[in-house]
Amino acid sequence: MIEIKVQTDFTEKPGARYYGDGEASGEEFFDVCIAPNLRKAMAEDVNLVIDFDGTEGFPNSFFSESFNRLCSNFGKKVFYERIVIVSNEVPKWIKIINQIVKDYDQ
Amino acid sequence: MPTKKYLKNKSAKIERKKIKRKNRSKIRKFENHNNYISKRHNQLKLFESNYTPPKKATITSIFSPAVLTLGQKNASSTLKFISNIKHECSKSNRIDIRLDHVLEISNGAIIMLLGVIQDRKHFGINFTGSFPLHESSRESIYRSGFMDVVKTSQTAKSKINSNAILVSGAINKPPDELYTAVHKSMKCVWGIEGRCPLLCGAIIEMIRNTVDHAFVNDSRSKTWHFNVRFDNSLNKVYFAFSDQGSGIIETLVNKSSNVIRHLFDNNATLLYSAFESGTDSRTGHQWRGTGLRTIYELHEDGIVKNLTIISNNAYVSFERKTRVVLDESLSGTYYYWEIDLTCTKHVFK
Repeated sequence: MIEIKVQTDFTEKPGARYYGDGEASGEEFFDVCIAPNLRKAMAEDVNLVIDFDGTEGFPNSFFSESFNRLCSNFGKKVFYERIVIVSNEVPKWIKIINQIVKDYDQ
Repeated sequence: MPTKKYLKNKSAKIERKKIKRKNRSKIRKFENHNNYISKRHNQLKLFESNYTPPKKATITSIFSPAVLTLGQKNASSTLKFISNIKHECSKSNRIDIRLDHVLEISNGAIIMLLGVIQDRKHFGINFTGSFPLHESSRESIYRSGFMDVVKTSQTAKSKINSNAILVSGAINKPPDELYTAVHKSMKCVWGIEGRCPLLCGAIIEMIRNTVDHAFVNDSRSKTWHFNVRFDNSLNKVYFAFSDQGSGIIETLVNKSSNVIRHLFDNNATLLYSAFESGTDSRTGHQWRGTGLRTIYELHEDGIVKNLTIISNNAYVSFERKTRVVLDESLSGTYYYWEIDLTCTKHVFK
């Protein structure tokens, strides 16, 4: 199992959607954290756990951008097979991310 | 041996040369002077053609209506007053805000007024003003931090400066002061100074939308203001967020090439639906990504109460399920909400 703890591995203060929206965007999160760790997890045949607890809060556009990119680069199947989302503080974020992946239109 | 005649001619020649040289030098000087004069003349002409007289230091007095609140009944007159201030700022460089006859003033209206004043002060407009004669209205103004922003002729001092926080920005990334304001507001309501992730997520959406709604080539319209007022005795916090862009409705209408406007009865219904539905089933139009649904969910989840939004000429209050088209249109978007002990506790250390 590989774990990304967003608060310590990425930022405590997440930004919005694109690089152009400022620091710590969803796009940057995908490029810096999700993509390399997911490749590693697939190579090692283990799950990738993403823990969203401990931050100041995410706008939906952050999730939308990073998980749409995940689907576009790796496919929905990889999300369902490899990704485990942890969000104990705000459980609805798990629902939101699942909905984004479900709605992703290839 | 040179003859006398030769010598005479020679010296006459030399003399003539000297005179010629002198004349040439005089002519050159004269020409230079002429050039200088014509150059200065051209410069003067250019200056005259580009010259605009400096703005006169004019003072414009604007009188407030008796009731300055953002409730459905009085929102139009309040917005008209605020629009007047904005309008006069383009003509005068000193605005005198007369609140003498105010009998009732709400926190939302004060915060909105402060946002507009703060915004215009960034661009060199000076404000003076007077306080309401009515005691409780005057007390509300004192406590609001209004004094810090507007110079008044009266000598009263702001009672509680630390109970109001104003954060302004023209960038996408929220400054640290914004998070500090949220942490302090949690302390005021719940007694715990901590994070409120759902609230911060929604505020980041508001900031991001500011950039989307900004007018092209107008840096002023990218500025946003976030105001927080604490009432420690009631464990209550009042919030307002405002931007000076084109407004949510104008942005949605432009994005959809005007199609959306025909699908709704009016702008207020459109605004209500944009927040409530997120993705609208009536049109199939995807509003996902605008973050409006995230903001609405703060109300739906009970994290905040009294969530009110004014954008363009639409007024929406989710608590009262009110959607009204106002007589007066606001350039920009204005959000107002409150958190108190009746809200759902959502705070983390």
